[in-house]
Amino acid sequence: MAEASSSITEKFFLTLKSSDGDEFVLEESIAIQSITIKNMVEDGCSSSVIPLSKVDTETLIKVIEYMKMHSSTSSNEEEIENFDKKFVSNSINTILNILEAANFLDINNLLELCAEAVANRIKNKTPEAVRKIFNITSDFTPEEEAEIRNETPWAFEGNLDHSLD
Amino acid sequence: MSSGDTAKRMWDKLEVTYEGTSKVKKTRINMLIHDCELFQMKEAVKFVQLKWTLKPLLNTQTLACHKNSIIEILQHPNLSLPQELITEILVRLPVKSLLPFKCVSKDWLSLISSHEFVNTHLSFNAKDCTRHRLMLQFVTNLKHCSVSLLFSGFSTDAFDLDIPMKTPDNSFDIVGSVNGLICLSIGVNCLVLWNPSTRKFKHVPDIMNMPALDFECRSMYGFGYDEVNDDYKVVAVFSKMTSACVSMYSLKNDSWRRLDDIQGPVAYNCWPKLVSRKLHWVHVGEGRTIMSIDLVDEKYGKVEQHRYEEGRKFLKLEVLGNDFSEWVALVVSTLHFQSRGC
Repeated sequence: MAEASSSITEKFFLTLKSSDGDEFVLEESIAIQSITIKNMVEDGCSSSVIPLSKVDTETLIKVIEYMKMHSSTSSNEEEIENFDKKFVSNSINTILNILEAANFLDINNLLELCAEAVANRIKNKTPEAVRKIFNITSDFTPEEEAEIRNETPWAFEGNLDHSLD
Repeated sequence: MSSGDTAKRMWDKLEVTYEGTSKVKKTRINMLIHDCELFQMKEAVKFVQLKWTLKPLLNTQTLACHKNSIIEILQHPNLSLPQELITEILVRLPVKSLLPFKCVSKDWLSLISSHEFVNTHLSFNAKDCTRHRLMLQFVTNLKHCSVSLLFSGFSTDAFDLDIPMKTPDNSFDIVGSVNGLICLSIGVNCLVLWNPSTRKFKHVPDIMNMPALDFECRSMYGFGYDEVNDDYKVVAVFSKMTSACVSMYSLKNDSWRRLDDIQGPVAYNCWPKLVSRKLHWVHVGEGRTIMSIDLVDEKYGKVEQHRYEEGRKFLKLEVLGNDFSEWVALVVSTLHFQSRGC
């Protein structure tokens, strides 16, 4: 292995392993945006591969993209803003997966970005569409559901959105 | 059975599965997978833990024959969003969007209706000034518009807001607003607590033994929140020539209580103003002073004034902001009447 030039600041690298077994090498300074990883580094558990058993490869790639953009000193505010806008245009299922990963990895900015994005996407949706998106089966009887609807019938008026994304 | 119980049972079952012999294992895993499928239907939220537990099992030999079922369960999208994340999403929604989601499932209904969620939603929205609305009072109705857009210099739409009750002459006044709850005085002596977001409202019961209102006796109301007792309170002041009687309504008890009378009248051109947990009004004694009542301990107090303001005849109170210090918050205006010799 070629020796790194001693004139530049020494960079440390971490290897993150997704639940699918794929490994990603990432600069430590970027990876420690995740408090979970930061704690592991501080506890000295980062010499080998860091297994992220709760994050699959597809999601981990997105999370790493986000962390790179948000730590890079070269990216300016406008770049970050545009990146975030594009980032939240991923499918709602992808964003929900990233949200879970952000929660597990403890990356607060990413968690807030995803929660805000999901909220915006489901804002005008019907309860039926929301059930499908969150994979929830209704446990109400039709009578119980009608009762809830009758409490605030005006909230169900207007063009609620049936789409799933 | 509570969802917690069921999740616990599943865990216990998983533990047993790990400990059993390989022959027993297969049967148990069959049961487990069957249970998982049922479980998945019923308790998507709790599923996250199973998902994590099942994933490492994928490569073990015992489970090879069930690999496909497990993969199917694992790939089920967002089966598993824990409640804390559902909360993270839902607190960001306006009330109008939340109301239909009460019929998503029983879990969502109890989450959205819970006291804890309501408070989280409230404090989240209170912190974010882009979510604040300004209420505009017109002669017979109200309009509301976005505060941040108003100050951004862009033109902003004002939306109509129907007050919950009308009187023949349509007269009403806004007594005060706290935490999105508004207290209205409609007609002569009808008080209503109103949540415009949910469109729910409640009549405040009449005050027992209320003094007869006439030229010599004027009524004034103030509205505030007692955060110690988590209670909303209305203060009614009936000012007469030489004294004023005061009653306090508690939403929690849904009743009025008479407090000690105040010596000397209260300036009735200025209704009680809320700063932090105290309501303030102008007391007319030897000079004009600012009196307050603490909504928590229900004790009267006096606000120290700058000497320049002492004894001014035409004090009028306005609230500029509601944080940090009463000193900054209470704007004392002396108007220009004094120069006219009034």
